[in-house]
Amino acid sequence: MSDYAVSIVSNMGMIAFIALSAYVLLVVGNISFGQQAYFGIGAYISGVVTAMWGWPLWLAIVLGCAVAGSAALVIGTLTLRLSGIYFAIATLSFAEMIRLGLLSVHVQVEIDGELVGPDGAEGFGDIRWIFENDVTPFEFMTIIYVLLIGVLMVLVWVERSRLGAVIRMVGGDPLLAQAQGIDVVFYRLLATVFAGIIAGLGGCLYAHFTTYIEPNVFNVMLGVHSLAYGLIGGLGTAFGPLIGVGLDIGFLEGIRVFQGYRMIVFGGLVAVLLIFMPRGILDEERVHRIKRWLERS
Amino acid sequence: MLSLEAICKRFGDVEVLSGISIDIKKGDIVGLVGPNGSGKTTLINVVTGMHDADAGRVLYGGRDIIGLGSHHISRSGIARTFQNLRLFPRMTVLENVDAAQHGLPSYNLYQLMFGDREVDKNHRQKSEWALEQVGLVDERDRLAKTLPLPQLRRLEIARILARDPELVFLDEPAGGMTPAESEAMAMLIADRVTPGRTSIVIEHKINLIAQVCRRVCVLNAGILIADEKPDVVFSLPQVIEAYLGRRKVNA
Repeated sequence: MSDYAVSIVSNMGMIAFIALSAYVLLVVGNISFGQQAYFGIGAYISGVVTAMWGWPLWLAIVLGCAVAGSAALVIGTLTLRLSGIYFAIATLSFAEMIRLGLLSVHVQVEIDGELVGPDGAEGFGDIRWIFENDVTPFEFMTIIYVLLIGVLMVLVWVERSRLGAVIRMVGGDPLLAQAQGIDVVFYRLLATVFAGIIAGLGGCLYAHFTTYIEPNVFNVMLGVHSLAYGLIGGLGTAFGPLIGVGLDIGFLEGIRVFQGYRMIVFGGLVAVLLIFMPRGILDEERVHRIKRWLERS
Repeated sequence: MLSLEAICKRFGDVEVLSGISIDIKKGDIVGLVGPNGSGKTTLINVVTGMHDADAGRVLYGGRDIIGLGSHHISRSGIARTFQNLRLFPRMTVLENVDAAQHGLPSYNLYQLMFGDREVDKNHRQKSEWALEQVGLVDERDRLAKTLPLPQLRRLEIARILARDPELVFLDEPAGGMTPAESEAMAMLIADRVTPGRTSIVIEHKINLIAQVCRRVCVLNAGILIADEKPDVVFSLPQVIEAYLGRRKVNA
């Protein structure tokens, strides 16, 4: 596999985490423009843990996810009573607060004569775990996909369980769910925290694959894209957002035919799909038909 | 079993419920009627926790349930249907009935995640039984959104049966139906829903109320104007006036 292919495929894998994170919230009926904040938190925390403290990657991932999940718990609690456009604006504002906050974080330590750590707008370089441990990009790509498959398996398992049905009830009609004994607020909060952890995990991997991060990477466009992936790929199954990621990064960016027009094509694709397939390619109805077909054959 | 004590509810300047007091005993089958805008659905919404009351108490089994979340009220054994049909359209018919049981106290988060063979089996059997009762077994694998209105109303009844609540509110169960379909719905309610259950039925179709209910409460402009047996209530002058207007009554 060429370095370029490894880079594209790895990028797809890492972005898939934030796409899945936005998808989880879409399924419970919340539109979040702020999942990039948790992605960024995961990236910065894990970067600090390996580059500044010299701890192993797995611990960096655990801490990155824990902090991202905790941040999601705080934001989820503060936005409990919000829905629709109000929730979307609140999450966007929070994400911008995190991004602007990171621009003013300057915490560096000297390691081997070099300053290492977040340096505001200059970013956070020298996240050298991948070099220090002789991990090739291909091997790191394997780590990304093993973890992605793990997350997907958890999501598929949840979707097949009664908890998955409850989550779809909450997203489908919160008033009816409430009238049937479901604590809508609790399940929305649960989904928010889980989504934060998934995005944080993606951020941890992103920081260590690229070895350099800066606050502006985690801007609103990343949040908009992560939402769009679920809307393109479909909200009927966790595989939906992966189709969205594949179409955008794998097809539009990967083959470079569209070059500077990529964003125009992507925007057009989102608009067309929202008109003709409002819940994406793999929406609940299509997934239902596929399931029936699989059962029959 | 259920005591409404001086319930008041305002929306802005409009007083929708003005001191409604009704006492419902276990096993009662009560019709709640009144012209459009008289406050029937608002009253149900207050009792089921969808709206907060501005004043008054709702005692259910001796406990004031005003202010409890609607999911807590539902879990305590009260179920309802909605005037404007509410279903999960992207779920199948069977999944809709299953879903009605996910919020029952018999399921906790752990059981929802990891399953409980015994509880799951009981609930699935109950769902299938409920579909059988309302005649929707053959439609079990269809998406709910593909059913015609009378079957959707039956699906709402199946959900109620699967939950097996102590107290049930049916909000216009025959809304939008033809006379023949309404007659069939009345029979379904009388045969399957009300036996052994305290029931409150809101309906504009007087035949259905007369067929199903043993007692009728009439609301007009947020005030309880009558609480009598069906054969008495519709001959009361204040009820005729509320429905037809003063001029016609005098004529």
